[in-house]
Amino acid sequence: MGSSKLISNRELFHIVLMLHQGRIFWMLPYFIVKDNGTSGLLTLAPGFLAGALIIAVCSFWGRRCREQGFVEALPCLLGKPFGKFLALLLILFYMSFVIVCLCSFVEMLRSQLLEETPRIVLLCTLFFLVGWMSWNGLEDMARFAVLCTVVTVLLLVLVVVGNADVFSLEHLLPVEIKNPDLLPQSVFHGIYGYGGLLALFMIYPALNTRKGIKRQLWFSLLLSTIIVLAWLVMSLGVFGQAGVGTAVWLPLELARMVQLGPFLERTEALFSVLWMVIIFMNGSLLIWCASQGMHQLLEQRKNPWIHWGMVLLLLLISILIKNAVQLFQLEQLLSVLYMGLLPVLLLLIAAGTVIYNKRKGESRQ
Amino acid sequence: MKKLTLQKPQTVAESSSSPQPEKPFTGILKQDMTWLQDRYVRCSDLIYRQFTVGGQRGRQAAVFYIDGMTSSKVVHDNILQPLLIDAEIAKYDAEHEQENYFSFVKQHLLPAGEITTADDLEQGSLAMMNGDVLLLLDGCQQGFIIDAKGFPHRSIGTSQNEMVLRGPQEAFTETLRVNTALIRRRLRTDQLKLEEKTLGRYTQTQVAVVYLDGVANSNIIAELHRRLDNLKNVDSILDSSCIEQYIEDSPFSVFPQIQYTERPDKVAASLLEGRIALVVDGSPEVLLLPLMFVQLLQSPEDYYNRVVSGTFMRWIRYMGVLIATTFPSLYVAITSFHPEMLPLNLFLSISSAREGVPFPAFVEALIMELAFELLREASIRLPGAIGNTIGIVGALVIGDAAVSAHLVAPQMVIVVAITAIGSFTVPSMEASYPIRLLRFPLMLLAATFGLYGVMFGWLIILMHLLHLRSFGFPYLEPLAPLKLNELRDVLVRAPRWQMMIRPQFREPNQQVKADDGGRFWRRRIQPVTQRGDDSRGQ
Repeated sequence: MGSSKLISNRELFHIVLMLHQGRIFWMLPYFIVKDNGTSGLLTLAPGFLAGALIIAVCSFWGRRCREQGFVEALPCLLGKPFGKFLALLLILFYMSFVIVCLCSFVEMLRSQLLEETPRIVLLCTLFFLVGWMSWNGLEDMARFAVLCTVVTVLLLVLVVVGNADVFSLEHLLPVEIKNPDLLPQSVFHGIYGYGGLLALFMIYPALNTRKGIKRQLWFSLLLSTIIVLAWLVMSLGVFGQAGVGTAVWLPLELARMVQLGPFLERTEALFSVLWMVIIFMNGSLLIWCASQGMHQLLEQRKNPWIHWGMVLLLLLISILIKNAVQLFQLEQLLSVLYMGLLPVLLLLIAAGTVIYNKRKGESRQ
Repeated sequence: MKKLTLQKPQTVAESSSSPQPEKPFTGILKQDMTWLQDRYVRCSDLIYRQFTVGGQRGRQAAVFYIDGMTSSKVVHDNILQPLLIDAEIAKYDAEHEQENYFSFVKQHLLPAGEITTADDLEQGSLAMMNGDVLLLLDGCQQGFIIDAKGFPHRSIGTSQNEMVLRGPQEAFTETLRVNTALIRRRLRTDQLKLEEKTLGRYTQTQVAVVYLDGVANSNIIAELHRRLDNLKNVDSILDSSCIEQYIEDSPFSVFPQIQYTERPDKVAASLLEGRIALVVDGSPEVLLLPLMFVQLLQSPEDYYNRVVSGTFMRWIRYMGVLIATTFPSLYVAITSFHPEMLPLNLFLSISSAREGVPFPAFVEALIMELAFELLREASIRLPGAIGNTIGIVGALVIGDAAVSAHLVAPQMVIVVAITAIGSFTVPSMEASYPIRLLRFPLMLLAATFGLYGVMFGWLIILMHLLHLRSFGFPYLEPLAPLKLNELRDVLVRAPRWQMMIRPQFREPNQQVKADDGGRFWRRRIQPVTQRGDDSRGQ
């Protein structure tokens, strides 16, 4: 399942950007603004903190446990039964991320561009692509991530510049918490938006050098948050709170308003297929994490049955989700579960690392 | 850089065919002659002559050579005349007793420039196949292999497939030694190494591995030798393309992983980058490895022209490649699935032009593209002027007739024409084939899924390219992995004095500037006022 020790710090920087960008744009503005208006932007702060915590714990663990993959290390840190159980939870979490990521893209495609194409066909093609890419290994994905960053920035610039004439600062006001009871839900969504960073635990052992990695990770997190914020501010400034709270595929609406001179208009099709690159990257990385974790859990080397079996399973589950409403419900459920899992997971990993290192030091003495 | 690991050559190749048994010289001339005559029975081009060296009391000797491969003049002037006539003067007598007869002949009687010793008849026989002469001496258990090559060969001409407006016009020929000389003329250094091998059981093809010692990566050289050693017992190596198919990493990929060229200047430039050249006897194409995709889109002319011109031409080429691959599929996708992207006037124009066309856009595109490919292939096979005429007439007539018959829309003819022109901008033939091939599946995907299908196709292509390796080097380098300092020869044609300091193929620790001090003369120019010119003050 890919080669180890062949990811550079710079490539990891781009991977973190991609992990964060992919699916977050499609539904996050809707979720965080519909109940809380402009104040929903503030939910990015807890999300940023959650991301920072993940990076901190991952670096803490990575520096002390260099030889093993994460799923291999969990039983050593937390005991065999509990460690394996937690590893399985993490793998399931990766799998759920993949489903949400790819299904949301397919829903968008079907509703906006390819109304007559069967959903199953789109899912099969997308899962085949990401399955193949993740099978090729992390090295190829890391290189592709670097190229994807160009696409991300290009699209952002295109949308910002293209909508600059209809942007209004007045739409961002007033900043008020409309429904305090619904604020936690928005916070959950904000934190869940950063959930892709959990993949760092699987990717970290593949770094060829750990020198300067923390700086790269912090910078990547900051930059991706700024990009997300720019999107959200742009969405609110163009459509206002009412518009954002009702439009589901907001980035597509933004792209729809961009006109490339007299030659091309209604460029949301172009936008969405370019965005496919980022979704593809996101999905591939997360499938790789899930597959890598499963291989480590079952103590197997690169096994096509495990990998493609997992891809098939994810495809079958994705087929069961019939429409966007079910997808949104799934996302809401997952965001709550994630909120429950994340602090426990991070605390256990940190504590387990400390205890493990202590035991290692004692056994050396 | 990924380290190549040397592996033991496969035992299957070793055991599949045993080397030909050695046949030592008996020392009895008649027996050795009989062996050779039996070996070459029914070979009417074998010439042999028995004679006496140095007069009536001299020893018997015989020469063997292949008519047509050897220069008769060399045989007569450098072998027969000295041994038959001049040998009378330098008699082997008591003065030379300390010297054995064999070395006496070599030192005193044979004026030829290159003489090697054959230790067995097989070796001598092989040498004859290469155009050398085998000289046997009675009583000696060795023979002489005398260089007398004189097989007919084509003279140096101009490159047919890699034409440039500015720069050298020479091209390689089918003769190994001529080609190595063309390279040697450009790199006049003893660091230029030529390691020769013989490959192919029946063809015994001479192959030279050429590289700059200290510049080329030793791992790649070792890996190349390892792969070539497996070819010693294959049946035949008729051309460099045969070797390419055996040694490349992914033979089923549409993308070539080894480049070929007809141009000596391109080979010299590649060797300076740390690449390795493989010169094959009988082939005018020299192989260059490793290969990166961007190198397929670079032309020697970029470097002979000015910086701005070179950069501009390069970007025209990139656009051409993109258009050649994607334009038809984009047309199909937009007209079939996303017509809302077009402005109203353009949409109405396209719609009205397609009025009465019975086929969907995809079928139209397929018909026209296939017709064009047929024309292109046909014009290659036909000689000279006929081929050109067929191409022009065919394109015009077929295109016009198809439009008149309402089989295709006029826009489709324009799309196909622009696509074809785009494909012609690719400087290397081996790069144009994947571009031409990939158009068709992209069109099919566009017809099925619209722009999503085009992107799907491109992602597959990109994934494949990311995974491809050429002798251990990533195929998409320096784009993926991204190496910013090497992009100056990709995105632009940087000035020579700013070219990369350490080209990617070189030894990892070698720190050599590609151009050391070439522009230092500018620092030595003094301003006019400091030259002590008094005329301005007066």
